[in-house]
Amino acid sequence: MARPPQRRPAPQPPPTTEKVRSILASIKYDALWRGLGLLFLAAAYSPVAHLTLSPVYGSTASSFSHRPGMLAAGICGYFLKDRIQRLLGRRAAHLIPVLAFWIPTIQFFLFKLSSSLGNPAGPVVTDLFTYYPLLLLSVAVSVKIVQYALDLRTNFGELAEEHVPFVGSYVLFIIGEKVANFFIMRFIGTITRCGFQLLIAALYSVTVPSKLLLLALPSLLFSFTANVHMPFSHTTAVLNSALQEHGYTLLDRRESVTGYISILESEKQGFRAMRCDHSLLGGEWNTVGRNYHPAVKDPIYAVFAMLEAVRLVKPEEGEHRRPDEESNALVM
Amino acid sequence: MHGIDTTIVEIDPVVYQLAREYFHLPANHTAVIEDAVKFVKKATSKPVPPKYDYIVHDVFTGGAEPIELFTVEFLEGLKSLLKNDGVIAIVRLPFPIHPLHNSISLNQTNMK
Repeated sequence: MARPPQRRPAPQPPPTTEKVRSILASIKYDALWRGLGLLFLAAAYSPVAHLTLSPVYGSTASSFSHRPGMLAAGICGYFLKDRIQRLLGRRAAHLIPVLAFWIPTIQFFLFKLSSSLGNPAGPVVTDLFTYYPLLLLSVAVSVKIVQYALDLRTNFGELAEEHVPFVGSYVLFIIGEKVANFFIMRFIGTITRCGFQLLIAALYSVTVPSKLLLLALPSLLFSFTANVHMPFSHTTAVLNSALQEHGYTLLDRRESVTGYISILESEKQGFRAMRCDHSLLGGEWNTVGRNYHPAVKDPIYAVFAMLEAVRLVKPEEGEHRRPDEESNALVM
Repeated sequence: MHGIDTTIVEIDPVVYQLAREYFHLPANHTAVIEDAVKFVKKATSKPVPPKYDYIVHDVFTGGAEPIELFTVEFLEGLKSLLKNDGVIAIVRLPFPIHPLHNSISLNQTNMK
């Protein structure tokens, strides 16, 4: 009887753990963190860019174009990444913090055109010269760095090299934006819009430092001396002297969860108003006729006086309303 | 105002603070710095919910009306905080073609 042929032991495949270990060893972590950092900062700038537009164009109006524009800039950055690298080389990464430091100054000049640009062109044009290029460059550079750091082609093949960064950067961007927005909403007021802009620019410089940062100095100098959107006492004084030409005085301005809150007074027309971003929350008339002594100050919005008319509604059964002193109200 | 014991619900602490600093906000009020949705939810779930003679519903964010303050649930919550002979005033932007308009008018009728 012939003996069954002896089975030869199959060649042992290299254990998966070995493979993972070798891939992990091949990752250039320094570069990886730098790449992810650039993407995270670009994501964190998204709510900040929107916040800087809202006092000028309104929160709702400036949010319309923000997301589609961002998506377009991100996709352009992804597809132009090789071209940008050929064109600018390492300078592409080094230009990002410089641009970030210039954004407040570029915005300062573009906001001067806000009356003629209006909505919806204003927010689009402003973003086109500020946040969108920053996002485009950040995505392009970040993807190149991550591809290099992970060595995706050698480790996982060409397909992974193209698609992993595309999907990965999108997911990371969305998460980064949410995380940043959470922190911004917690610290807005303590840190202003401009403060966040400079903070992110500073973090960009730490992530990709270079001598090119010297180019940011003129903008920084301008920001601290003449940019009226910066909340310093001397920049507020510059703002007030400009407003006084139009007959207004800025009494206070603060930044808060619902927007940029400012108190303005018009001596000539005799009223004081509170604004949240570009909208008027309300106010009261200070100058009234000589023989007119209202019990409460007249609101600048007639609707507030109309709302008080709830006191005058008679109950259906013809009973009398409770006197004011025994009534209570909820105003929201 | 007019000696009425008023509860003010305001989401933004700075708006409230500046209203006190720069405007003639009457003293006899209770300020609640909270999202109106949360306030109404909390108030209605109390064992004895507070009841008001007047409710003034005037809310805007960024020049628009926040949708969550115009839902059936929210407005029903307000109704349960209103005394039987109470009066509610709702401020709306005049957008007659807005799909919300019909549902809101319906609610106002229901509340009568």
